[in-house]
Amino acid sequence: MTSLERGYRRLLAWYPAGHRAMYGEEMLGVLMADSAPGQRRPGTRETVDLLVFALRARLRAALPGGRSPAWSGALEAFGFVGCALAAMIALHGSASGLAYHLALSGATVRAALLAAAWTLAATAAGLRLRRTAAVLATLAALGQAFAVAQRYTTDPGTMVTNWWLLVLTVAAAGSLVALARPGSAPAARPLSVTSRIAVAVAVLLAAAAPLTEPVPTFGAEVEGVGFVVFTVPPPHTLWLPGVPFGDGQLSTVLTGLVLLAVLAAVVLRLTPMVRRRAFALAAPAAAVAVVVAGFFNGYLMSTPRFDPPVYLVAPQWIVLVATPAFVFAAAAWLIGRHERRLASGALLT
Amino acid sequence: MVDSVTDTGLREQAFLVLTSLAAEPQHGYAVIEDVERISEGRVRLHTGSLYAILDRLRETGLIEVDREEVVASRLRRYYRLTGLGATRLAEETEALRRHANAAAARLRRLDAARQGGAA
Repeated sequence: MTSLERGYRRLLAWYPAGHRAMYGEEMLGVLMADSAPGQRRPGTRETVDLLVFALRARLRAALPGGRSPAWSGALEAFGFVGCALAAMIALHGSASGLAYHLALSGATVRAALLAAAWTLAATAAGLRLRRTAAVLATLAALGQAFAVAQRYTTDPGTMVTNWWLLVLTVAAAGSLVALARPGSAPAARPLSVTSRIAVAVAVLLAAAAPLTEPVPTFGAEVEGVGFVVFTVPPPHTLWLPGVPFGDGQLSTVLTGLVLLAVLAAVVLRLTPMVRRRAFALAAPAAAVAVVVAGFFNGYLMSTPRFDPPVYLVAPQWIVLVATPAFVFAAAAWLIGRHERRLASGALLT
Repeated sequence: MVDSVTDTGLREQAFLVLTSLAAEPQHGYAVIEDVERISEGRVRLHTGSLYAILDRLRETGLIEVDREEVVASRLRRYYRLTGLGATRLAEETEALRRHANAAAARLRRLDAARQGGAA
């Protein structure tokens, strides 16, 4: 082997293994044929060209574009379910506000707009209108980010507890944008029509649950004011002791359970390769929820006690931003490793 | 991206590679030389760029592997245009022709206006 060939082999080693397996020897032949007589080392332009395209190939291999049908399927499934869940949460909030409004006051216009945006995005994703879904989901995610960020100055604790929702919605919108990119592989319809309708119905049921709940009121003697009637907006939660909830709470729990059952059934019907990737896309939001519950408890307890509230410091921001990125990268790497092992096992048997 | 195939059209280098393969199935080094010839020396593809283009064209179904040979202990893979690739190249050629015609017509009008102004 000449020093020139060794030099080219060292440069080709920068390409990902899959690319080397497909083109490595062939590229080496072209590089050697294209070299000048007596040349002993790779030229500068050839070196830069190989390194740049090796880096690009590595980036393309690492990022979940629409290159593989399995990733396309996961992006489509997660994009739809993520938008549907975001729509459910936004609609549930609006329905709560509406029920409360009927009893006392105000469903906000902004909450209704957000609910409408996510509903439209989920509908477009369900109808497999890739570009429309990508645009609508991006707009909805921007609205969601604005709504979350706006709380920061007055109530940073709420922003932190809602961070998982922001990650979920950004991941859902990002999935649909990645799917709509030119050249993405066609997904083999990861979710059947029945699955999509089932998710839509379950989401609507869960979202509408607060409308079926009675708005409980209770009276209490307030010092200096007299007897005051309080109204509790839905969704009703267990943390208010002694408040009679009636059947309303049951409807929320039941519709929530139905939604979970439908999602579990839909996930089980995905092919294993698509399912793994859909979990990788959902993992960042789940990880953020776990990290916030585990490590931000003290902050969440203390910040409302101060006026102005205690704001996040740099390490906390780093944890909130880096956790989803790290978890997704780790999940994608684990999937790749697992599937390479499966493939090599299949070759050996 | 210099080498990509997008919805809006083929980039120049990808267009030249497809044009090269429209003549006959060719291996990588022959494509580099042919592209240089077609572009009259203006475009000289490097190996990294060429294989990024070939990979993308193969992935999008515009080209496919024709055959493989071993020459002087080196793998030589020949690529050929697919039916989809030929259609895409024809569409792109037609679009470029229309654009070139429009540009030529406007340049003629501009030239005539300048000459009229000078007179």
